[in-house]
Formats: sequence, C-alpha cells, structure tokens
Amino acid sequence: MSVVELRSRTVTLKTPDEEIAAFKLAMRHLAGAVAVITTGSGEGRTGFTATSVSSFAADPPSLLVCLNRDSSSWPIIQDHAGFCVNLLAHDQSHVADRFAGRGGAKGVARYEGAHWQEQRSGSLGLSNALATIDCELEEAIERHSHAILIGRVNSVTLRSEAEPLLYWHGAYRLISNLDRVLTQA
Amino acid sequence: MSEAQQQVTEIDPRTFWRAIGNRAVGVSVVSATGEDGPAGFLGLSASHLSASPPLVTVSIDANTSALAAVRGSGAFAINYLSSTATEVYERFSSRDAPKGAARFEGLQWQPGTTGSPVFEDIVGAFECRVSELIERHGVILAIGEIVAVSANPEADPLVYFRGSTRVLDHV
Repeated sequence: MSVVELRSRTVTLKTPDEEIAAFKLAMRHLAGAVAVITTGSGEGRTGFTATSVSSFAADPPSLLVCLNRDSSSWPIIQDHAGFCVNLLAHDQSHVADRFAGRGGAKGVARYEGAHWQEQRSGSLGLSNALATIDCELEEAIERHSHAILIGRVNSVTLRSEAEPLLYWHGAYRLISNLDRVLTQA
Repeated sequence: MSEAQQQVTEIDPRTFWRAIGNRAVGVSVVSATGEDGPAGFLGLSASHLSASPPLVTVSIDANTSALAAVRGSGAFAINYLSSTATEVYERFSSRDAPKGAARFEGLQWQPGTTGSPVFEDIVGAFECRVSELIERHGVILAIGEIVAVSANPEADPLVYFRGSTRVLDHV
C-alpha cells in the first residue's frame, strides 16, 4: 500500500505495521458521526463506541455496524441477537467517552450517567440521542479480525432539536453551518 | 421521552432514510473505470472495516449502473470530498446531471494506481481492489482491500447531514 499526500509528498510503505499506521492516519481525515452501540440485558449489558455505522438497504430497512471480534461486546451481541444504534447529539460526548472505555468503565457500568429506555430488541436506547435505531441482528459476516453486523431495523426514535456529534482529526466536532446549507440534495 | 422526540415502529423506506440521515457522514464519490470509461456514484455508505488487512466496505444497489465497472475492473476508489468539491457533489447528486462517463467531464480527476478515478478536491481517497462482493436484499456489499491512500491534510471535509451538505465548526 502506498500513501500519497496530495500537494505535498509521496510516501511508499513496505511493512504491515506501516500499512496499519497509514490506514489509521488516513482515517483521521474522514469525518464521521459518533454512535454508541448497546446490547445485552440485565447485568450482562455492554456496548461500544463506533464510527463505522452505515446504511445498507431500505427494503427491508437494514444497516451495518463493523465490530472487532476481540471486543467484549461480540459474544454478547451474538447471544442477544439484537443491538441499538444511538447516534449521539452534541451534548453527549461523555457517553461516547464511557463506551470507548475512557475512565476504565466496563460492561453495564458504561450506562451510568445517562438515561436509557428499553427497546424492542431488549437493548437500551439513549434518551435524547439524535436518533436511536433499534435492530435485530439479521446476520454477522465474519472477515479477518472483524464482524460486519447486518441489523434489521425495529424502530427509530428521532430528536429534532439537536446537533450531531462528529469525530474528526482525533477530536469531537460540530457542524458550523446548520442554518446554511452548501447544496441541497 | 421529551416532546422533541418521536418514536416510529413502522419503518417504511422514507422513515428509514430520514432516520439514517441523522448519521452525519463524510461525503464520498465511489469511482471505477469500466468499458465505457469512468463511472461513479455518491457513496454515503462507505465505511472502514479493519486496519489489518486494511479493508473498507461500501453498499451498492444492484441497479446502480457503476456496479458493472466495479465488477469488471475488480477495483474502486472511495473519494472523500473536501468542502471545495461542491461541483463534484452536484454532478453526482443531481438528477439533471449527465449520466455515465459524461459525469466526469470538466471535473478535476486522474486515474489512480488501480485505474479508478481519484478526484483533486478531496480530504482523502482509498483506492481498493475488490476483495469480495456479497449480495443481500438486492444490495451488493463490496469489501475492498486498500492498495493506495491519498490524503490532503489541509482540506476540510464535506459532510452530509439531514439531506444537505455541511462543513465542520473550527472553533
């Protein structure tokens, strides 16, 4: 894999370690919504912070989440056969931090400090998230270190009066022009 | 649940796209070179999969005309557009825009390592070889192994949120 920095310099990479470093560096340039994925029930609840949520099909409504199979959430999500995608609002970065493991909280302890509502899948939806999208696990496609989770959407809850929390260049960001669009789709 | 929240349990396609439109995403154009020249589509579903091996995914509707170019060449590029790329965005999002190779005319791009078009106004591009094409529900999940990365550290990303494009706050 080679890395080309446009308008500056070209670097060619030769080792797998360099490839990984280059991939992670390149990913920093991609702006993405921050989501917390919740799963499990009772004391077995757990979850993780993800930026790899994407749309898949509209009929049936389904989305994708990529998950490292080393994650403690992986066996729980298979057992539970469902999960909830919580797209975070601008005022919820503390939830992202907890579910990313900052501060050391694990499992059900990650849910402390926020309000939750049980969804149809049994997973918890975050109150006042920008959107909560509850899913049944339709299929998990395992490739290399990761699993691609296909979630069949059960229900969605939307919050209108909020801005999205984004992650870019290693930090949380907000959109600057919510009242001014560049182009209309 | 507060008044500003609304729960829906009958998920028709319109509700689905409205919900998923709350997921802010860096706008990308997925490109490939086919028998009829360059082809591409707006790829709001591009995502990273793993760092080792470096893999990305993009969902392609089975009816997308550019799918033939991805299949035929065994390659594609994900171009994450910069905030200056509004002309590229409009070309790939407008129903009135020209189709097929004509979409690329007059835009700043060049063929990358795999031959797939790489645009000039980007924050970054992943050039990929097709690792696998998996079909579910009339949608092709393309898994690509990254063979080259372009990055423009000075550029700001073009972000899509609730049906329109946005820029990041730099405060």
